[in-house]
Amino acid sequence: MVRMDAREDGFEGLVRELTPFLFRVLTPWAFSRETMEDLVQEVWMRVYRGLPGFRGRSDIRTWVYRIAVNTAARRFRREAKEAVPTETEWSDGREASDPAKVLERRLLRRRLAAALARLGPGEREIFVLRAWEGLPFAEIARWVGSTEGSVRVRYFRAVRKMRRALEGLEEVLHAG
Amino acid sequence: MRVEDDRDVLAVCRSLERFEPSAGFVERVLACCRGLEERRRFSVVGAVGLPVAAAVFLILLGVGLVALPFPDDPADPALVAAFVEDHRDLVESFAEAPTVEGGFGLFVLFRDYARSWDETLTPGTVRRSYAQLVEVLERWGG
Repeated sequence: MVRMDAREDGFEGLVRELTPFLFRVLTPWAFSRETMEDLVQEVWMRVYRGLPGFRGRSDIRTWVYRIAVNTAARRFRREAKEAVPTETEWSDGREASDPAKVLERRLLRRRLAAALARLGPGEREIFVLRAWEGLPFAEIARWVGSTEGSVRVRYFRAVRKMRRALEGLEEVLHAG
Repeated sequence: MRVEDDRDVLAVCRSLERFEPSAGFVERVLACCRGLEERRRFSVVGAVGLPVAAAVFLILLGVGLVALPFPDDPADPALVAAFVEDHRDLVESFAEAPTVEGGFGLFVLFRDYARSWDETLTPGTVRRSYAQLVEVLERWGG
């Protein structure tokens, strides 16, 4: 878990501190370690380019997180249009011997990413911090600069939307 | 894998396999960013600079937008960074050869982009963010 009051060590320190966090919260958008590294690298490039415009009005970790989730969601939309699986998506070493398992996980991630794409950006940020980082509502409120009550409302709204989007998941996986 | 209630949603999410960065990943990221800095140093935009008249126009446009209502809404640097990234060619070409029409078009494009990027952004945040984009263009112009 990333602490909000962590010491500022410049860009390199930020990369070292937040990269493991990004690997956790971007879980639904990457099919393999290679695609995850590609995605996280793109996030850091965007952060680096955007740093001159960062005014420090919010915590820099919150800013990086927002860029990360928006980058992932945008990339998913772009790749969904292309609908071409890359070689690396199938190269999960541990499961390579079980193509059915690989396909099932791939379908599950795609379904989750599609469901996340239907959330509003504010809902998505909150849901991801809760689902994959396991942060308490009070901590999430600090991350997104909102009140705990508002975060709870948006979170439960997001969960309801996700549940509706994931209905019939079993049939989809079996059909795959 | 059934999704019948809210707890199932979280169970599905947490069932996904997680990945760890490979050895040397952070160093590769840092090397990429250093390479980016080198390219930026020699970029055409930095060398050409922004004409004074255009810079004044941009400043006035930025100041005018900030002076509109919604004084308490802050800019969103992430929005500015995303816009610059997604429309880099357009932004760079505008910085090289700014025009009044181009400035207006840029603002309309930015406003529409901001709405699709995050529909919860207030008009004040969009305007202040645009002003921040103007500042970035000024810096690019030297």
